Amino acid sequence: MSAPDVYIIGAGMVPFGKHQDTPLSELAAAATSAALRDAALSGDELGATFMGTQWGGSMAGQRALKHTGLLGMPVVNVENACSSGSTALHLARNAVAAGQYEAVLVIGADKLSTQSGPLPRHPEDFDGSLGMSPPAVYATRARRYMHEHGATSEDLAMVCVKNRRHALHNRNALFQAETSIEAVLASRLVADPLTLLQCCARADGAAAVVVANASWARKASRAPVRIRASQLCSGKYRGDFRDMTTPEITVRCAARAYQEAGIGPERIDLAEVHDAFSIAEMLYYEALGLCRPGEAKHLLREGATTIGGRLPVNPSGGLIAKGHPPGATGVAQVVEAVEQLRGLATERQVKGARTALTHCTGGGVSGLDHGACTIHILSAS
Amino acid sequence: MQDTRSAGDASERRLHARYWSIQDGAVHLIAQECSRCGATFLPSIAACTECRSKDFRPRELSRFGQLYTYTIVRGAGGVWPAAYTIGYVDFPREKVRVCTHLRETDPDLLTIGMAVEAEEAVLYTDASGTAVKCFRFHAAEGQS
Repeated sequence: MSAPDVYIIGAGMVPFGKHQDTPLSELAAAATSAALRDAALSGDELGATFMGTQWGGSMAGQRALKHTGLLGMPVVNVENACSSGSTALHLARNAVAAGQYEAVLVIGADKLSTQSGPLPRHPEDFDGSLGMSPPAVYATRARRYMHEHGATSEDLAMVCVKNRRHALHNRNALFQAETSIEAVLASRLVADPLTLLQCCARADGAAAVVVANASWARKASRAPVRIRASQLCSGKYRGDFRDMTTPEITVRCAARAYQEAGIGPERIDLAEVHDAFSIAEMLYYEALGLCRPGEAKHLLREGATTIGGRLPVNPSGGLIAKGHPPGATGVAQVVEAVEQLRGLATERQVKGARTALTHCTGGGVSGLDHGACTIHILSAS
Repeated sequence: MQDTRSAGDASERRLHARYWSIQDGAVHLIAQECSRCGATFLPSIAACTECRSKDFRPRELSRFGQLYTYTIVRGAGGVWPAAYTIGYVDFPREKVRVCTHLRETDPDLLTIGMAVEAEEAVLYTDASGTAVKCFRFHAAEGQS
C-alpha cells in the first residue's frame, strides 16, 4: 500500500546574508509569515511545527512562534547538522502521510555571520581534535578525486563561477555578483586545493514551508507541489578503506528516493545539491547518478548543469552563492524548488521544470561519510 | 584520552596517548583489534562494526603506511599553526585508516600513495602554554 500524497502548499524565506541585529527567533518568524502568506493561511489551522536548527539553541521553534501568536500546538525541535531543516521536513511529511495532522509548518534557521572560520566538530570527535575541519574534509576528498579522475583546479572553480552566475538574480543570495575562474583560484588558499571562494560562507537566514494533505492541497491558493520522495539516512561507520570520492550515504539515500518516487535521475529537471565546497557539487553529481564516476568535470565543461543546460544544478546559486545557515539550507532548497516548479523563478527559471531534487548532507563524525543525508523529490501537480 | 606532565618550566600533554608509544626512539601506533573477527580500529570503538563483539586487544600497526589523501590547511586560526598538513594513512595489512598530521607542508614533497612512517611532534601549543604532542607521519626514507 502506498502512502497518501503529501504536498507543499506554501513556501517563503528571508534572504540569506548578514542579519546581525535580528535575533534568530525573529528571522524564523519572518520566514514563517512569508510561508503562511504564500499559503494564504493564518496559521491557526496548523497541527504542529517542526523546527530545524544546528546552532540556534534550545527551544528555537517556540522562540520563533512566540512572535507569531501561534503557540500551543506541538513543536518539535530537530538537530541533524546541515540536514537539520530537511530532517524537520522529512518528519513533517511523515506526520501528514500518517494522518496525524492535515497541515503542519516546517521552519529552518541559523545565525552564524557574527563568527568566522570553519564550523567546529564536537570536541569528542577524533578527526576533529586533530584539526580535520569541514574545509579539510572536503579538501582531502578533492585531492583524492583529482588523483583518481584527473579533474583540475579549474574544474573545481567552474562550480563557483556557475553558481555565482545563477545567483545574480536571486535576491535571497548572500553573493549576487559574478566571479571568474581566475578570481576563484586567486583567492586565498584555505585547504589546498580549495581556495576561499570555493568554501560556502557562514550566513544568517531562515526558510519555512507549509506541508499538507491532498484535501488541503486541492483548496490551496497557489499551485501545490507534491512531495514524491522524502528520505533520511545516517552515515555508516567504517574504520577501514572508505572510498572518499563516493559518499556512500548519498548513493544509498538517492537509491531510496528514486525508488520511492518511482523515477530515475534521468527524469530530474533540476537539482539543488549540497555544494558546501566546490568539490562537493562534483562528488554529488556522481553520487546522485546524474553522471558516472569521474564524469562530473564533463557536465561542468559542457555547461550541462548551468541554467539553460540539460540538467541545471543549484539554480538558486547553491550554498556557494547563497551562504550557509545550516538549519535553514535544506528548507531554502525546497523554497527554490517550489518557485521553479511553479514557474515563478523569473531570470533563474529552468524552462519546463516539472520535477526537482533537493539534497542536503552533513555532519562531521570520524569514520562516517557524513552524519546525515536527506533527499526530497518534488513535482509540479 | 590524554595525560599532562611537567618538564621543567614547560608543560606538555600527550594527545590520544592510548594510541601511541615511544620504544627505542621510534613511535609505535597501537590500534584496537577485535578478538573475535580481527577487524582493527583506530580510534577505538565500543563494539566491532563487523561482528558486534565487545572483546578487543591492542594491535601494533606496521611501521609503514600509505598516504591515502592529504591537504595543507592554512590560516585555520585558534590553536593551529599557520600551515599544517592533515590526511589519512592506510595500513593494508591491518585494514585500518588513520587520521593524522604529516610533517611536510610543501606540496611538492607529498604524493598520494607514498610510504610514510610515524614520529612524535608538537601539534600545537594550547591557550595555557602547554605543548600538545601526538603522533604524526612523514615521508619514509628509502621506501617507495
